[in-house]
Amino acid sequence: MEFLKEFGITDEVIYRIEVNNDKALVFSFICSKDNVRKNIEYFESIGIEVIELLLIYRLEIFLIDYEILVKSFESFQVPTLVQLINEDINAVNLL
Amino acid sequence: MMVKRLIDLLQKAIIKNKEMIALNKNNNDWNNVYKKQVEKENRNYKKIITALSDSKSRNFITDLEIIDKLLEINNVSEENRNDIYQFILKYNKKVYDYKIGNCSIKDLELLGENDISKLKKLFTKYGYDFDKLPSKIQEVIVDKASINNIKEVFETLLNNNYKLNIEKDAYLLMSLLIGSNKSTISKISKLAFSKGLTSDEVLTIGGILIEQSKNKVRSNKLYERFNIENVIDDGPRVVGSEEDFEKNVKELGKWGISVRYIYDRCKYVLICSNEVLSHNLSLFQDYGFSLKTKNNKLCFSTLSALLKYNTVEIIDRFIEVHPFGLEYLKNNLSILRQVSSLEDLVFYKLYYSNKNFGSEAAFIKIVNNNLSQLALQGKVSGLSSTYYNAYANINEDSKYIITNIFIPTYSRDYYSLIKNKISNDISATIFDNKYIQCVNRYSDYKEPLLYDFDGIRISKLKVLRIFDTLLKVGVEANDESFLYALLYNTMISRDDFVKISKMVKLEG
Repeated sequence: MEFLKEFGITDEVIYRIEVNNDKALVFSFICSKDNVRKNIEYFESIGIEVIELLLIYRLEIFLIDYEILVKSFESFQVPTLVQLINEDINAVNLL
Repeated sequence: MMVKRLIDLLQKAIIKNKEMIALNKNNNDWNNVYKKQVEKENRNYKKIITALSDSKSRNFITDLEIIDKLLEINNVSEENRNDIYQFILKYNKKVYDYKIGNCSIKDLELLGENDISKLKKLFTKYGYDFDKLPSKIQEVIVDKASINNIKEVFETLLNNNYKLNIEKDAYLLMSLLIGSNKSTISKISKLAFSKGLTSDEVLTIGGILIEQSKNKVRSNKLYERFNIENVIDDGPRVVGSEEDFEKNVKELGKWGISVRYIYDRCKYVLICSNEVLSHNLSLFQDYGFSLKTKNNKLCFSTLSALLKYNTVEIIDRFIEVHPFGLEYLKNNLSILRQVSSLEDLVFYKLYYSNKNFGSEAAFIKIVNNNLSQLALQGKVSGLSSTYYNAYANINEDSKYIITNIFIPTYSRDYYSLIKNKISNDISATIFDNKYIQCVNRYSDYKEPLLYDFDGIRISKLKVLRIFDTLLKVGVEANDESFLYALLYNTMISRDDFVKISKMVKLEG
C-alpha cells in the first residue's frame, strides 16, 4: 500500500483503508497498482476532492478498468458528477 | 554466495581443528582439556555444512553462536553476516513449515543464488521474462518459492489458458508462485469456468487461485492452522480466497444469483468473506432490498453494500430518522459501508435538518436517465472535504444538546432482558398480538417497512423483532413494553414521545 504515499496519502488513511475493507479486496487492490494509479490520477485531474474517502469506503471503484471508468464518467456531465461526488461519495452509484 | 562463503569458512575451521588435534597428538595436557571440545566443534561444523549443502535437509540450524564466532574471527563484514543470518532464518522457517505439515519435502528445496539461472530458464520456458519483474518481487520469489512448485504452477496456469502480463501482473504472479499450487488452480479454474468466467476474468480476482488457509493438520493436533499471511509477516501480503469463492458461488446459487451477474456488477462480492455475504443476503431479503438491477451499473450500490457486515440497527435508523431516509438507502445501500454506528453524526444531522428545515434540506435531487435519485448534501453527509463536521456545529460533543433528542425512561431495564437475545426470526404468533394489530392502522400504505404515526416514522421490522423478543423472554405485553419496542433506538423529541405514547395506549 506504500505506493499510495506517492499521492500524499498518509499512514492513517492507509490504516483506515485496511481496517474498513475485506482483506481479499485489499489484496486485489495491491495486485492492480497500475490501474489504481491511473484512476487516482484521473480523479485528481477532474477535480474529485474526496479520493481518500472513496479509497476508505468504496475501494472497489479504483479497481474498475481505467478506460471503462473514464468512459463511464464521460457519459455524464463530468463537472456536475464530480460536484455531486464531492458532496456525497455515493453519487458514484450513478455510474 | 554467502552460503558458499560460510561453508568455506566452516570447512577451513574443521581443517584448522584437525591440524590442532594432530599437532597436539602427544600433548596429554592439551588433549585432556581441549580435544573433546575441538572434536565437538568439528561435529557441529559438519552438521551445519550438511544442512547448508543438502537442499532437502530437515534439520534446524541452531548453532548460531558458533556461526557468529566464526564470522567474527574471520572478519566477515556486517552486511555479509546479515545475509548469512537471513538465509539461516529462511532455512529454519522452511524446515518448520515441513515439520508442521505445511509444505512437502519437495518444497524444502530452497533457492540459492546458484539456482537463479535455473529459475530464469523456467520463466522463459513458460513465456515470462524474470528480469522484467521489479527487483523486490524477484527477491521474494527467490526467497520464498520452490523450483518444484513454480514449475507446477506455471504448468497449470498454461493448461488453463492463463496469461499474465509480467509487468502489470507482477504482484499477482509472485503471489501465485509462492502461495498457490497446481491442485488449487485446477480446482478453482474448473469451478470458475463452469460458471461462465474466462481465464482473463479469473485473473482480475486472482486471489481465488490461492489457498485460503494452509490447514494441513497432521494427526498430532498440536499443529495449528497456518495462514499464508502469517508466513510472510514482514514481506508482501498474499491473501487467498479459494474457500470463500467456493462457498460464495454455492451461496449465491441458493439465492438464484448467477456468478456472471455478480461478476459484471461487483465482482468482489465473489471473494468477500462468506460469513459476511451469507449474513447480508439474509438481511437484505428481510428488508426487501433487491440485488437485481435493470440498469448496467459500473458499481451497483446494493452489491457494494454486501462487502461489509451490516446490522439491522443501522438500517432501521435510516428508515426512521428522515422522510427520505429509506428512499436514499434503497438507492444507495453503499452508505452502509460508511456508517457503522448509531452514533454516526450523519444521523444527528439528518434528524436536525428535517426537524428545523424540512425534508428537502438534507438532500439533492438528481435526475438521471429519467430517474430521480437522491444524494446527500455534503454538509449532512459529513464526508465532504469542505463540510466535514461543520453542519449546525454538530460534533461528537454537541450532538445530543443541539438535536435535543429525548431518551425515554421505563419502569424496567428492558434492554438487559433482551440484549444478546434479539433475533431476526420473528414468531408468526406476534402478528396476532393485540398491540401489533392495533398499530396496523398506522402502516404506511406506500411503504411496507414503515409505520407512520402522524409523521413519526417507525421501522416495522424493528418493532416486530423487539416486541417478539420481549415476549419470548417472558415480559408481559402491555403499554410500556410495547412502547419500548416501538421506540427502541428511535431518535425522538419529547413532544413526539408524548404524542406516540398516547397513540398506542391500549390500557385504561
